[in-house]
This record gives sequence, C-alpha cells and structure tokens, in this order.
Amino acid sequence: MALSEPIVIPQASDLERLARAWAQPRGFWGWFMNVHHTAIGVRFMVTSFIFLLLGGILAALMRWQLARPEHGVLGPDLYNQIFTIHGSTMIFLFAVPMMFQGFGVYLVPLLCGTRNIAFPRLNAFSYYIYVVGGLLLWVGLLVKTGADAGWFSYVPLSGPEFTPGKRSDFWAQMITFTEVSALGVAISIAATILRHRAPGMTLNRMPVILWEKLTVAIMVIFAMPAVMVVSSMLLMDRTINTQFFNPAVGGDVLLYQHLFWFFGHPEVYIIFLPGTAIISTLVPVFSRRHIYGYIPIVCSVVATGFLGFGVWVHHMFATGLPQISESFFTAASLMIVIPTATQFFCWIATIWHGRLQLRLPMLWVFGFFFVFLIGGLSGVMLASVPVDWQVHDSFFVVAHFHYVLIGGALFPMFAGLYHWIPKITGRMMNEGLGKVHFWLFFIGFNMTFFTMHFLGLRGMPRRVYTYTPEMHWGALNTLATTGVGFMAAGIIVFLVNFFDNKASGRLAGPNPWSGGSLEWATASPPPPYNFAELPTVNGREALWDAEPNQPIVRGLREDIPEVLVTHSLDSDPEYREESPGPSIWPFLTSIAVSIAFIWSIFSPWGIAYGAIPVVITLIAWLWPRGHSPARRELERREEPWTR
Amino acid sequence: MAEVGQSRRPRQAPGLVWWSMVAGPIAWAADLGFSYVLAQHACSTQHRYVLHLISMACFVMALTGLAAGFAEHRKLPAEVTDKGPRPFDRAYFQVLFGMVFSIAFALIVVAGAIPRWILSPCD
Repeated sequence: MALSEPIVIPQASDLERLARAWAQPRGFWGWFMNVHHTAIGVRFMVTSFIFLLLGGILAALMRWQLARPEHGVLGPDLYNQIFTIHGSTMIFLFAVPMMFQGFGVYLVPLLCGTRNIAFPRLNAFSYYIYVVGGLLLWVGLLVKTGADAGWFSYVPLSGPEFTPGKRSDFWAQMITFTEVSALGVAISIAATILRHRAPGMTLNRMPVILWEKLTVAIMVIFAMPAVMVVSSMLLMDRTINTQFFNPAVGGDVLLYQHLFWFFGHPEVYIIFLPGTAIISTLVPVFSRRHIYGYIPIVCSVVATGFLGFGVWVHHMFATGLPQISESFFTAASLMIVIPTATQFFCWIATIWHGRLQLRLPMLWVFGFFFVFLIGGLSGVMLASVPVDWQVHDSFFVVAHFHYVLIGGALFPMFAGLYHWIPKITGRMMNEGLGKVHFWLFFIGFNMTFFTMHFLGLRGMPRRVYTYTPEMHWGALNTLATTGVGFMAAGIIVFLVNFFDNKASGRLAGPNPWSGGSLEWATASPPPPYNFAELPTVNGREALWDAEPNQPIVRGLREDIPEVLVTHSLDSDPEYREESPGPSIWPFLTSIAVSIAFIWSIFSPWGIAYGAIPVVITLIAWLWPRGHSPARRELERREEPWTR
Repeated sequence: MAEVGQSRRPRQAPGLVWWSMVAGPIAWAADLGFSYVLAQHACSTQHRYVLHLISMACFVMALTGLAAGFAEHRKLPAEVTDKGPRPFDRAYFQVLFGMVFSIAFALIVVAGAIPRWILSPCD
C-alpha cells in the first residue's frame, strides 16, 4: 500500500472489478443479506420516517380529541395508549433511529472517506432488531395491548399492581430491542470514525459532524445500558415477581426514575447533537467559508456530552429530593446552556462573515435557530426548581420539550434531508415545494406548541383526555389543533416533493451544493465501493482545502472488499482489512433474538430456550469461512450482482 | 506533493496531554457525585464544610488539567498550527482543547458550589 503522487484515473476494468467486489446480492433474500452502509442507512431513515408519520397520526388524534371540551372522539383508555405510543414512537422509533442511526450510518463512512462502515453485519443486525422492536410496540396497540403508562412508564403505575396484563411488558421489551440496535450502531460508528478515517484527517481536522457523531456514539454506549437495565427490572417485577420497585419489601420506586433519567436526559442530547451536527455542516456550505470557531464548537460538543450525564435529576425535582441535592442539578442544568450558546454564536459568526446563500436547507436552519432558541429559554426556566414545581406535568412542559425536540431534531432533519437527498437519490428536490413545506410546517408548529405554553400557565395538566367548558381552555386548544392541520399539510407537500424527485427531479451531479466534505467527492448516488480511489485530506474541509495534486491511496485489492485501517489520532495508514461481505446470518440472528425477547414477555423460560437458536445463529454468523462466503456462493450460482 | 502520514513525533507526554483533556470533566463528575451522595449526611450532621472541601478539591483537580495542558503547550515547536497534519499539530489541538475544557469545568464546579455558600439548602 502506498500514497501515490498523481491522481490516476481508474481504468474501466478496475472499476468493474471493484463494483463486483463490493456488489450486494439482489432479489428477495438478497435484500436481507445486504450489509452495505448506504443501504442500511437509507433503511433506517425510511423506516424511522414511517414511524414519524405513524406517531404524527397519533398526535393528530390526540389534538382532535382535545380540540374542544368534553369531546368524544377517544375514550380515556385509548387516549392513554395513544399518548404512550406516540411518545415512545417519537423518541425510540423515530428521533434516535433517524438522527443518529440513519444519518450516521449513511454519512459517516462517506465523510471518513472509506468504503464501508466498521462491523457492517452488526450494523445490519441492528436495523432488523430495531424494526422488530417497532413492530412489537405497534402490534400491541393494534391488538388492544398498547402500552398506556406514558413514554417513561413510571412505577408503580407501570408495575404489576396498577397495569395488569401485557401492556407494559410490550413497552419494556421494545426498549430492549431499540437500545440493542442503538448500541450496535454506536459501536460501528465509533470504530469507523476512530479507525477508518482517510489519511490526513487527523484528530484536529475531523469535520465537526464526525466529532458530534463520535460524541453521541460514546453517549449511547454509556446511557443506553441504564434504560435497558431498568426496563428489564420492570419486566422481571412484572413476570417473575421480583420486587425491585416495591417499597413494601425494600424496593425503591425512585430507583426507577434515577435509572430511567440517567438515560433519559443524555437521550435528549443524543437526539439534539446530531441535529447540531447537521447545522454545523450546512452553515459553512451555505456561507461559503470554513466554520468559525472550530475548537470552541468541538469543545462545546464534547462538553455537552459530559454535562448531559449530570442533569438527570432535574426531571425529578417534584419527587421530594433534598433541596441541597436539587441545587447541584439546577447548576449543572443551567451550565449546559453555555456550550449550546457557544455553538449558536459560532454559527451566527460563520454566517456573518460568510456569503450567505439562502437555499432551501438554510431555511430550515433558520427555522431551527428560532424554534430551538425558544425551547432553550423555556428550558432555562424549567431548570429553576420553583418554576419547575409550578408548571410540573402541565402543558407548559409539553410545549417546552416539543420546542426542544422538534426544534433540535425535526428542523435539522429536514435541513439535512434537503441537503443530502440529492446525494442519496442523485436528484434535486424542488425548492418551491420545499419552501411551501417549510412555511406550512413552521406556522403550524408554532401555532400548536406556542399556544401550549399558555395552556400550561393556565393550569391545564398533560395527559388528560378531556376537560370541562368551565376551564376556558377550549379556544387555545382549538388553535393548537388547527396548527396540526398546517403541519400535516406540510408533510404531505414534502412527500409529494420526494416522490416527484424520485421520478423526475433534476440530476444533482456529485456536488450540487459545492460542499467541502468528502461525501461530495463521489458520485450521487455513491457507487457500491463509495470511492473509486480512496481520498486523502489536506484540511478540515477536504474538498475546499485539497491541493491540485492531492494524493490518493493505492494498494487496496480490487477483487475483494477491502478497507483501509488508519491510526485513531493521526490517521496514518496502518493496514488493510477485508470488510465482511453480504450475509443472511445477521437477519436470522435478529429473528432468533426477537423470538427470545418476545417469548420472555410470556414466560421467563423464553430466555433459556430462546437462547439456543441465538447461539446457533451467532455461531453460524461468526464461523470462519475465508473470503465473503455469501459472495462466493452467489458467484458459483452465477446470479447477477448489483447494489 | 503534500506529505500525508510522514511526520515528526511530538515530544509531548501523552499521559499529560490526555489528562489535560479529561481532568475537567472528571473533576466536575466527582464534585457532582460525591456532593450528591454526601449531601444528606452533611446536612444531618451539620458538617457542611465537607461539601465545600469536595468542591475545592475538585476545583483544584480541574486546574491540574490546565497546568498539564500549559506545560505540554510550552514543549511544542514554534511552527505548530491547530490545523496541520503533523502529530505535534494534533497535540497542539489536544492541549488547546484540554486547557479550554479545564477552565470551563473548573468554572462549572464553582457555579455548582456557589449555592452552597449563599443559600441555606439544608433548611
């Protein structure tokens, strides 16, 4: 392996061999064998977007019910299920899978300049296990076993005494599915960033988006086990009569809240940081200059990752903890504003000193600035214990976290989709329709959620399925429900735009926005091998800072799928490694694991007996077979290869 | 042609460079964790000075990160830049990061300690 001097135009035969080495099988079973990061990333995005639509339908139903006093659309039991499934879907099945897994799996290898993600089979397994988790939650709702104790399912409400039946068990196992998925992807993304960066992309030259993906991956690795543990403890209390949360026999109800929120608040940043990663990527592209304050932004991102683990108690201010303890977490909750504000100032400075191009993705970036700022300010209010006590469990809190989560996730998501869909599909989205989408959504969002601040201040509690006319909440609720109609219309316009783009959108070319990061150095959509020649990097914006004779990496084999492994700090080339090829075993293992998890809802023996197929499929998955067994097998059968 | 991966090794002590990066967060986490655990004991026994001692110790710990970063910064060659490809450029980035982090987390420790001085939270 060597770093050659001139840029060499690859021969057609070389590209053909490369395409053949990296091709994924097609057909029905081929779909389940595909382990390439672009395919899995797109699947995460599409699936989580479907869950966003489903969660949105539930939100619209809730708003319809609350549009006027004593409305009879939904009964209390169904309403409880709907708000629980709505929250669980948006957090566990949409926000994290879209913002972290979807964007991360698709973009990180391209941004690193490598040909596939590290541990691609683990990555594929993570997708299937996530889908099963989502289906479990939704099938539960459809068969009238929908979880109904809220998206955080506090005990004792979710315990065996107050929620008999299987409702909370479905919720608890959904958590296990989705968090196993997030952990698998986090490991893949962290390893890719640390070991597969292009030569020259040293630690101090990593794009901000890679810093944010690495930070979030590490946060996932530390935060997710807490919620998996607590949901498993809940499941054991419910199924095998353990007493973790039963104070009568020495259990502790608050232990549930501590463990849940030790995950739950970092989760907010696990959702929000990928959003800021998108903003930090788009602002320089559309300001036509390098990001202002690279080091302060990187420090802010990593600091947010640390501080996110030290604020969980502010979700528990109303539980009667000692005041002195609350003061520690008030301080930390206020301090976390500083790194976020630092990022805001750096983005504004970048725009201020750049040449702003107000294209469609930037419209969503400005929407994010406005919406997230309001959410952040109400967050500062809620970090104060007296204010928190006054508005606890009211619609003020609902307004706050929707401003934070929709502002921090949905607005950046649409910015990112409009920015990267040309890379994914090879075609541009329609800017006119995109602007209609933006304004409908922006107006509708503020109409719905800004109104909720006033509802909360007037005392309307969250999670009530109706209210009497004497409360005088009807007009504001009608206004909030009207806003949902605007948002729904906006989403429909987006879908029309997307399918029109697929059918007849203008061809994008490799770099339609003149971006500086490495994903724009390859064709749109990327070929199966991502890069014909592995790139090297000469600055923080690889394409903007490239020299005319920027070196390329030579020496990787073209007949088998190989990736370059580089030093984690200095990205010096170290060795080359074969990337695992297509395999059916990650899918079959996910089925075996799913059977064990679902069986355990009905019988603890499900774990014992269910472990047998899990072990068998894992052995088959890990069995050493030399080069790409599935590929050899398919080649022997002379099946066509394409991605 | 630009050289990639052909570079001088830095003269920095890796342990001190990494300490400058993690001292601040560790100090803050220790302050939060120990203070939270010992809060009830400190209030019930009226030994509130324990909480102040913890905060002071953690503040000093965060500043050791600043000192380590500063010491390593002085060893860097004059031509160093935070955007360069060489290992000492990367080390420069790390110590800058570490010093900023140490100062920031030292201030956060102070911010967490102020309420304990000016309020009577045990009441």
